[in-house]
Amino acid sequence: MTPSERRGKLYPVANILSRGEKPKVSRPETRLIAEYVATKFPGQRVAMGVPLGPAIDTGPARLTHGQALAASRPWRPEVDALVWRDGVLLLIEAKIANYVDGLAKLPLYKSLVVTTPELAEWVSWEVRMRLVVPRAKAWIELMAEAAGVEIDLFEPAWISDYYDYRDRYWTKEYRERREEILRLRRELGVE
Amino acid sequence: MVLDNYVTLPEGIPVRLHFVDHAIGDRDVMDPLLGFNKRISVLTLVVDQQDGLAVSKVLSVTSQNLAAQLGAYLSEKVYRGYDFIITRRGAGFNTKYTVMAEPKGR
Repeated sequence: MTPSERRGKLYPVANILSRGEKPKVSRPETRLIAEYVATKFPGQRVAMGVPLGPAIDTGPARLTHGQALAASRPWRPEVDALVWRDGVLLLIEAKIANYVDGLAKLPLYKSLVVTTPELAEWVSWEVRMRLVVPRAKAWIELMAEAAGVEIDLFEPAWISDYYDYRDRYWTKEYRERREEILRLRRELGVE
Repeated sequence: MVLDNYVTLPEGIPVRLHFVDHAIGDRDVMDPLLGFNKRISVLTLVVDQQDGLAVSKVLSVTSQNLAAQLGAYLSEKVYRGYDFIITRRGAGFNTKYTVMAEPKGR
């Protein structure tokens, strides 16, 4: 018996409100970026979760360069992935839902590359930006063009389950049933 | 005596690893906070090189984040063609990992 079936048996109202079993996808955006770079750049050097920008000012504390970078850990932003290819550093963000967030971050991340100690060796390389999303939206392509960001569509099979589960919440049918249940709860005084 | 059978990832220090095999299984561990036994899923990777030296160790991955980053390379043991340079940053729930996949021999 699945957890949602068990809930439905104990609390019949849960059957009406249920959106179904939550897809077993943990860290979906981490999984999306990892599958993207492994699929699109086989045999090439890639990195995931790359901190950007200089170390923070540690004041009078005498720290080694490595210690200063470690102390800066909570403060340095991280780009989802970085790819080294033919004289180009490709900064990549992957987004499943908040496309605009990914788009907005990339130009800011690009501005930090020249001050990133770990990337000093490649500072003369051209820097490009790419946003990876599963499904196209006309407006994001217009915004990406204005921001100088490439859009690449990448939709692994598991994304459909994830979107279906998430989107059910916004359907008219689901919202109406939910409103009805909440109305009945109020009228019957059931909490 | 230090047996040194497992790869440890010290904070902030990149560790270069080469994997030759992997398995995903359950392991019984004690919750460090509450002291009860629980069963967790673990991605175990067999390591034959660490920082360029031949070794016979395993890397046990319990972090969902690190497992997701390495997960894309598990299919058909694609990881055999790469060195992975893993840098752990932070501890506990705040742990993050930078994972670089570099084609073997570069």
